Amino acid sequence: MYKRLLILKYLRRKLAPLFAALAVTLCTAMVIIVISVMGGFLDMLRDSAKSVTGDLVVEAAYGLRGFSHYEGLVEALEAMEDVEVATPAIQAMGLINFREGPLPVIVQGVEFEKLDRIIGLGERTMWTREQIEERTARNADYGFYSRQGLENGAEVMRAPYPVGPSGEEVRNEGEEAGDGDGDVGGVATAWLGIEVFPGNFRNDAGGYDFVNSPVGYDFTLTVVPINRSGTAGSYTPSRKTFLVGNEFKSGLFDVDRQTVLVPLGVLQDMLEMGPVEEFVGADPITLEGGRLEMTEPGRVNQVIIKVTDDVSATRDLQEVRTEVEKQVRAYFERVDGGLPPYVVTWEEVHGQLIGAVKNEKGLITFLFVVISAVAVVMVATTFYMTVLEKTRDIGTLRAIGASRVGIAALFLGYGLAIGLVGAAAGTGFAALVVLYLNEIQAFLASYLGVTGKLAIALLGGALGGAIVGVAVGFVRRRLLLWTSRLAIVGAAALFVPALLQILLQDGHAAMLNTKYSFQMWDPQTYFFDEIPARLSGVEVVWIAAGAVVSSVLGAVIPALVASAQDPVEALRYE
Amino acid sequence: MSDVLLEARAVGRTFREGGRTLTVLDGVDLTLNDGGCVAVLGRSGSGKSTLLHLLGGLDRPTAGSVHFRGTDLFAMNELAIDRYRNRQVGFVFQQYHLLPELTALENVRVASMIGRAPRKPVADGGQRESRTELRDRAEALLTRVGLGERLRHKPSKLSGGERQRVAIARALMNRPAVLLADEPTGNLDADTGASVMELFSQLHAEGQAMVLVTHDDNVAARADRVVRLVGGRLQDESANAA
Repeated sequence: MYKRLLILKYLRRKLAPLFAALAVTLCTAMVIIVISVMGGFLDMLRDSAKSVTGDLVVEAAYGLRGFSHYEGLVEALEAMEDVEVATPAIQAMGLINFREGPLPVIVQGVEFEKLDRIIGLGERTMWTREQIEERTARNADYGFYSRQGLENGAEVMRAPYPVGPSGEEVRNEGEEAGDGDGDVGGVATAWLGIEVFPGNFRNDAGGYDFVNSPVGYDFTLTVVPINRSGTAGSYTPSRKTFLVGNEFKSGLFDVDRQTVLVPLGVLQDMLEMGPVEEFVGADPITLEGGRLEMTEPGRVNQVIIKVTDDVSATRDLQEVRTEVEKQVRAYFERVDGGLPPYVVTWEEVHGQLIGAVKNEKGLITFLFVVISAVAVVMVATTFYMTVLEKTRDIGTLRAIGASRVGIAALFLGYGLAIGLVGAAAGTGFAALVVLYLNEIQAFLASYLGVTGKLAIALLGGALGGAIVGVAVGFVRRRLLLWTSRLAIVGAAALFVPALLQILLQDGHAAMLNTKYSFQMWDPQTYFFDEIPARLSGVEVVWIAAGAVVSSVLGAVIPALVASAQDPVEALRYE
Repeated sequence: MSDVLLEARAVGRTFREGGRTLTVLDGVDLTLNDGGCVAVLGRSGSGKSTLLHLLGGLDRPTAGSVHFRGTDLFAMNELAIDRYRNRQVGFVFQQYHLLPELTALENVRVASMIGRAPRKPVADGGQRESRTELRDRAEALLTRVGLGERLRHKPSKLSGGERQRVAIARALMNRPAVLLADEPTGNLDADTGASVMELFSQLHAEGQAMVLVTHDDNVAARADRVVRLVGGRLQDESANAA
């Protein structure tokens, strides 16, 4: 019981426990903030990666050669209990040209409606129907498209094209709806990742402006068909003009910089992957009696799958992947479709990127844990000084019957108390910083000038006043009184005029805030609009527990030193 | 004849310092009976405090033995010796040795907080005292030494005499068998010293056994028996009264 009494008393002493607890607080906060930001970054990256990939992807064993019989495969997959939607897709390399030179891209041929159900494409659309309608009308007035030399400009100018993933179309009054495949008036539409078009750039707030967007512009896409034997030499490059229907933002820079979504059927045709129909059975002489027959089925090289929400909540995706793979193999054996494609999860698709960030998180966490060893050393130093200072008290306690174990427990308990106080304060501080990180960043970016001026006036005035106070107090032999009194006077003397100037002088505050701002997260540089951060309860508990253990470890040596002291020598210690 | 409470038998204590051996105590025999009071006189450095530390189990002799009610103290394990110091011994030091963070009341109570709560005298039932009872008794002890109005004062706010009174109250808190006082008036002026000694006289009159280490003959005069340490050996000077 005496230990608890003394620990509580020691905690109320002034500087030593304050410094030790502060070291623990700062280290705890530092590690929690770093882990939360890195964890948030990783989570956002994973969300983005998952959202552009779907849950599972059936990939062709021979890449661009693709696989046929995909229609039946999609049906078989959608019949599975764990699969909600499956859609065929083609992924190929291509070049796009906005008349400024070719840009390499990854072209994905997709069924827009189904892809929307899988990855929520509609939520990632950049531009609204109203914006596009307005531009269409304006450009039509200016004859914009014809000036750009589009062959069938007049037709396209009025052409409906899908702006939503479900094929909803913008069209002028009286015009007929398109057929929903995005190929309208001979010109297909495509969706671009937001960073594909070179004219797009991020504004100060990290967003994009419609004025720069290429929506409604045309571009040409060139792809190289790959034949069934997997070579590109059999065909000449295929080129086609597209209109930009809309743009999307996934959150993954690499995806947004190089992905172009086009209608599946259009890409299949361009890549010569569509079904081949031939006239067969005709008399070779008279050419009579023949019929049109599909001699080669169409090919795709991917099937994108969304699993049911039940799976996401309760089951490991890997289990479903194994089941899907079994289904794919069984189906390919049934239709004799050759080497079956394999199945990968979204995590495996983006394994390199996610793995790199995971590694970074691990490395940075390790570095900060090493830095946190400073807390242990700080606590150890503080406690060692406390033990020296308390040597006579240790002698007294031994004289009135305290055991060596009791003395060790007293100082270990002190370490534990410092650790608990420091960890609690650090956790609280870190939680505030993490939860309000974007607000803090916004504040520093917007009000640093005014805040800084007031803070400098207050602290500078107090410091100046205190220095004068020390001199006056030394002469008048009332050091504390004069120091505290003149510190307050000094602070007020500088703070009040600074405040009045900010309040009364026109434009002064704005000038300060413009001139002095600190932006720790530049949304123009990073691809997320906000600083990603998330507090994980488990991680916070582990870090706080680690801080408490570190603090106790820091107290071990001083506690052992204290308990090993000879009581007689301790009583005589000066 | 009273029972022997504490007995030093041929106790020797040497220290090794700078490669040579310094003999501080050499074959000291001393007996303290229940309720007795022995004054140990001697010049500075004669080994008075060392003898007191040996009797109180704070230090170990290099020769001989110390017996408490017939039990060899240093044949016991360390925890038992700690318990002996806590329950059977009350130390009063020249430098008071109060804990600066604690108030006068807490300084007195702290001795009873080590280990399990002390028991009441057998006459009162012998049960362990409750926290409230301990607190009341600490207050009563401080009131008895004249500090009833200064319970919440920290040592830094007390005078030397007041501090020594707090130290005496602390020493008495666990109803020790023996008080071991090391120059209890050494840091006090004559009047304050006299009042502190008056307190010791009262305690002795109530049957409290004690060993007073001092170099002041006036203090020694209050003891039943006075011994003098010279050259590490004890010389019996007087037996004032039985």
